[in-house]
Amino acid sequence: MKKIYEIFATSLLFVLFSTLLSASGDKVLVKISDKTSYFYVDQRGQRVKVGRIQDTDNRLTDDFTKTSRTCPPYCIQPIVAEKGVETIGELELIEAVKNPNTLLVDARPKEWFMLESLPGAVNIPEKLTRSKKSKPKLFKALKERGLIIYGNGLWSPEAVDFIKNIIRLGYPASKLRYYRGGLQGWKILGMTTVIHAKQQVKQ
Amino acid sequence: MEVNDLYTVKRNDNRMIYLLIFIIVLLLIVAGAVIFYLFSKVNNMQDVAAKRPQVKVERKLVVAEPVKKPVRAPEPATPTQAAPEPRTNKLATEDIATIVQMVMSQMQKTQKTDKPTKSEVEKLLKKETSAPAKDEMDDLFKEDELGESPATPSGSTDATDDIDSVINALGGMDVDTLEEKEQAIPDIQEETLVRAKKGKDSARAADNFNKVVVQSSGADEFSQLDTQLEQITQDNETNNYDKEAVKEVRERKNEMRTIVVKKGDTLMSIAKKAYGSSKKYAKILRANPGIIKNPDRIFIGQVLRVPK
Repeated sequence: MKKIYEIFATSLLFVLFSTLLSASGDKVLVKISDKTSYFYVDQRGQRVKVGRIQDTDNRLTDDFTKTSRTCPPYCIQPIVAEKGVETIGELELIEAVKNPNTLLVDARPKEWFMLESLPGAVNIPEKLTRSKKSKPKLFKALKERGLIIYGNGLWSPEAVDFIKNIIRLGYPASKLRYYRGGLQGWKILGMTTVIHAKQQVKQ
Repeated sequence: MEVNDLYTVKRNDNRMIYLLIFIIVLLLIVAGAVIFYLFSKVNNMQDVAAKRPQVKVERKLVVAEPVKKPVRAPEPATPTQAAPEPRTNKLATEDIATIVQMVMSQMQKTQKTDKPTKSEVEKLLKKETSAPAKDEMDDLFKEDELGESPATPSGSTDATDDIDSVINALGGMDVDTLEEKEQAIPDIQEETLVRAKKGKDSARAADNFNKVVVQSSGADEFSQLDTQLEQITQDNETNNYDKEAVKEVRERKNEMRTIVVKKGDTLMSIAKKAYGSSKKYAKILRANPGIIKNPDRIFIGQVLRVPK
């Protein structure tokens, strides 16, 4: 009798343990990669959970579905921004931002950045890198960190122009990485974005 | 001695068994609690976003009822149907529905069962259309960040026409027998009148927005960098990209316009708030296609895109 009870107790414990184990894993349908469902980013003191939209029927319906903006200035961008600068994708970006010394730079104009941007990004508009006068302040702030630069995406020239400008100013090309997908690539994957200025209708 | 020993051994055995049973029952309870917690857990993407206060949805009389009836079974005198009438239709269908509901609740209070008199309805009409219309519009469209000009209120109503229509709408109902009916396959018309709910799928439906509002803190080396650089480079030339960017940003701003669904909202009422006309709900459906296929449609706290 005692043995039966013991067996029953141990099997119950086993069942409980396995439920707890399975409970800890989220049931995420749309993951980022095999191993990653979501990750956390520090947005200047605020912790943002970044993941993908789970609705498999979701579609983009805003201006990021436009196919043909006037070129110039919105021309198709090359894969290689500048010699010596690595072009990366989303997975590499996610790995790279784990390093606290790497800076994610949004090269678009400020108003564009405030409306929507990648989580954890900092805004340095490309316009401010054109002149030699900005070199001292800019380089002092950047401190020769590793930078990942992005713009609106493969149809927009901000990131490539930014890279060309700061290489001309003297920043080491090996420290730069170019995320060609930009906000377009990020949004079409349903990834979390960040809003700095609400555009809400008052009720 | 031996008898004693046997006796004590047996008692120990029983105690062990009872202890085991107790542990098993405890484990079962814990397992049950864990499973229950798992299944009721709301899988919300963003913990950071401000949580909406848990609002209880009151079980009102289904307001859609009086307007639905004329659409389904054509009755002789039903000017409240949503089919557009060429003559003066100053009161929106939705407003009539609200008035009808007010009248119904009043009638229930005063235990009257006959139709309301013209004076009563007139009083209600005056209350409904004059006071709320002004407050609503002023608050909504005044000096918000979008710089919209204040929309003109729905205007004064022609009392006689509308009273007739309200009374006729009431004519087809009994106070006591108003019940919620099973909805058939919903068409767009009915969808627009369904009130926002707070369902178990609300978090999932709201998840499609997937944008987090962050506070830009000033205490950061980069927050001041661009203003400083701006001062240094302000005499720079602007090129073609800068000029085109202005247009793109304006379009982006219009596209990023959102509204939060509040308790008691219908798609038409939201369209009225966002666009000034409840007939523009199609625009909201196009911008948020997830609403159409989701049978529970809109939820309290859901963020909907309302592009200009």
